[in-house]
Amino acid sequence: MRPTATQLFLICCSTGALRLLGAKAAEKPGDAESGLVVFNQCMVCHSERAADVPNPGPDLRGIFGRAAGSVPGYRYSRALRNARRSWTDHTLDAFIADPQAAVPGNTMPFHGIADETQRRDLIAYLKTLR
Amino acid sequence: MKRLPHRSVVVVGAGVAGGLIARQLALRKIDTVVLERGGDHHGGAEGRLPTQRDEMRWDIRTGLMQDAAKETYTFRRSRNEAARPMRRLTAFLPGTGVGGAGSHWNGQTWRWADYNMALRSRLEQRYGSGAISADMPLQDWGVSYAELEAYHDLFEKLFGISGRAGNLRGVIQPGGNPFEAPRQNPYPQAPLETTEAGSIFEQTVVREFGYHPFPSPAANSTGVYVNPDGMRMGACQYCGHCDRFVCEANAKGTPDLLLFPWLARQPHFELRKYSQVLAVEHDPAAGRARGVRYLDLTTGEEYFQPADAVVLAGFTMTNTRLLLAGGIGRAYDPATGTGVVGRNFCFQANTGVAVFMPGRWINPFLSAGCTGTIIDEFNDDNFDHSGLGFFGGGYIGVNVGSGRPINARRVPPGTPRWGSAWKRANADWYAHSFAVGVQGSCYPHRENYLDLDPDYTDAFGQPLLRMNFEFRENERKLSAYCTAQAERIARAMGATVVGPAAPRSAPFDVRIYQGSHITGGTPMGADPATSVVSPRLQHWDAENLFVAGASVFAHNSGHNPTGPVAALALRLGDDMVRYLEKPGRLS
Repeated sequence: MRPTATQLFLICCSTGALRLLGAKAAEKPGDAESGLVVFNQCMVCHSERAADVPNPGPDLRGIFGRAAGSVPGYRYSRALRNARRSWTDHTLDAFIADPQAAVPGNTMPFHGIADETQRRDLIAYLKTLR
Repeated sequence: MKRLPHRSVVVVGAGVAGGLIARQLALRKIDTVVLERGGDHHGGAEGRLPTQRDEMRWDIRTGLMQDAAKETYTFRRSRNEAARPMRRLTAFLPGTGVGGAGSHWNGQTWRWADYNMALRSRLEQRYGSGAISADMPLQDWGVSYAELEAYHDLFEKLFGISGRAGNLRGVIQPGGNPFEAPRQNPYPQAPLETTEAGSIFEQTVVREFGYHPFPSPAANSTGVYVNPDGMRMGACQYCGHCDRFVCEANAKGTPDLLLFPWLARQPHFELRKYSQVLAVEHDPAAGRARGVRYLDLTTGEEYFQPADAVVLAGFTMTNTRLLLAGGIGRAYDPATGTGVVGRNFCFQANTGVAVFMPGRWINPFLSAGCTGTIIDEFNDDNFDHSGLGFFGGGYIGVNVGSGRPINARRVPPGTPRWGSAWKRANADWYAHSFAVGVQGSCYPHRENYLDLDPDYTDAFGQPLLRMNFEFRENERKLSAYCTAQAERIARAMGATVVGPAAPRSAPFDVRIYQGSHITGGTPMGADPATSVVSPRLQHWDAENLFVAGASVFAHNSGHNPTGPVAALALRLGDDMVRYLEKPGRLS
């Protein structure tokens, strides 16, 4: 069934609303210390330091500002290899909020973090990883 | 042969035992070299997605195991049979590479019941001095659980073990194993999730029989965990590719994840991979080992590594073979019951009863190595054996460890072996079946032993080890008894179909996997006439030669062996520090 004009309008509105929320999340500075606690969920697969043995997820040092799918030697999904974006406040926030919606078909087995403050803190922490 | 510079300690084998000993030595900055015949599994196809999930490559074709084309064992059931080599290793699976069998294990980490290390005394006290058959050379280990408690505790912390305490400083804990030996501390991590099959088992045994089910203790990490050495584990993803696989999520406690990367940073430690140890060089007159002779498998060059002390920490079979081939200690002779090397060789009497419940979603693909719910009411001497005609027992429980497509398929009895009816049964029952399993103990028998094969050699020209083993009357009776208990529980679950109870019986079938928990061959004990190593794991005939691993067990319990292997190895590491400071017989 084709969507009606009203439905299309509603979809556009909700996407716009999401964008606005994303922008709002990036405006207030996050708390890196609280972000470290949030990062516990990520540590299951990602390392923020030199790893002794390969981890399931790519190394997150230098993630902020880096092009998506660009850690040398890491085997990314086709979706992330072709994502053509760099990791900014906006793109990270969208990806962490709902990984499958942000980059459909990526293989990171994580459902996302719904809480906006937690995401903001986490991104603040990710910025500290060099 | 090239003679290398002298080292303080040379350890044979980079598995659980070798890694833990090396850790204790490294803490004291003692110069140590570990020789490992294989390579490193991390970073290769076996440790990455998607290739890690290849059941055919790693499980069916045993891609991570000892290569039987190079090194295998011969087998016979009695002394009047001719032994034949196992062309494929299937009954048990020795590992190879950094981590040893501890890299492809499931992770069940037990503390055995505290009487286990003085089992002979316990049984004689409870059932009379004549109760133990002359054919069953049970012996006390010469070490008590109390001496090992702190090492069990340390191991659980190092490997991030998850579980629920059953006996905390003598106080029985709800939801834990009431037969557990008393522990000072709870497990460092919370237990794994309970599976649907585990819940069915739990409800049945509590409701119908009043037993005490508990979650299996596991080296499957239930969260992000950092161990006392600062080594980190991820969280288990319940992917069902645990035993026979390398964990790509770094969520399984293994030496290759938690010990060797840490050791690599220590200043006086060296790991030499692809080093096949050929012999322990030994000076019988002086009662000392001089060092080990090994082959560099990458160059084919042979080396002699002299050392102040030598530790054999290979797989059960390897330790025994090296001592027999080197003529260190007297070989066991079953005809006279004299000699020691090769005696008290034990397997396990493991069985299962299949349960089919169409209304319940078992979903076996969603599991960790040790997602098990278990009772210990029928293990070892936890129940009265008066009038039963056997000793020992086993844990009974539901372990849903994998739903892999080739091996994890149960079909009800009477299903055709091929064709559309077989396919339909697979589709119908895959998600709706499981097994009530028994891990049965195995106590020594004078005719179950290891010796050198007179005919066959390995790729390096060394004689193969010959396994002389049969399920004797004791194990047949205990398996019949414990499997009947499992069947009784299975029938009380309200299942549509319960598979036939098939206890272990003679003849022992070496083609069927029955667990890799083989023990003995170099038993420990206080009497040099019946043991290879002292209670301090020091060889009776060579004071600077030590043996670690399940080969020192004097019998096998109805629990996996890794807990005691680890505790004994950590204690040996500390003992060796004492030995190197002041050489002599350790007491």
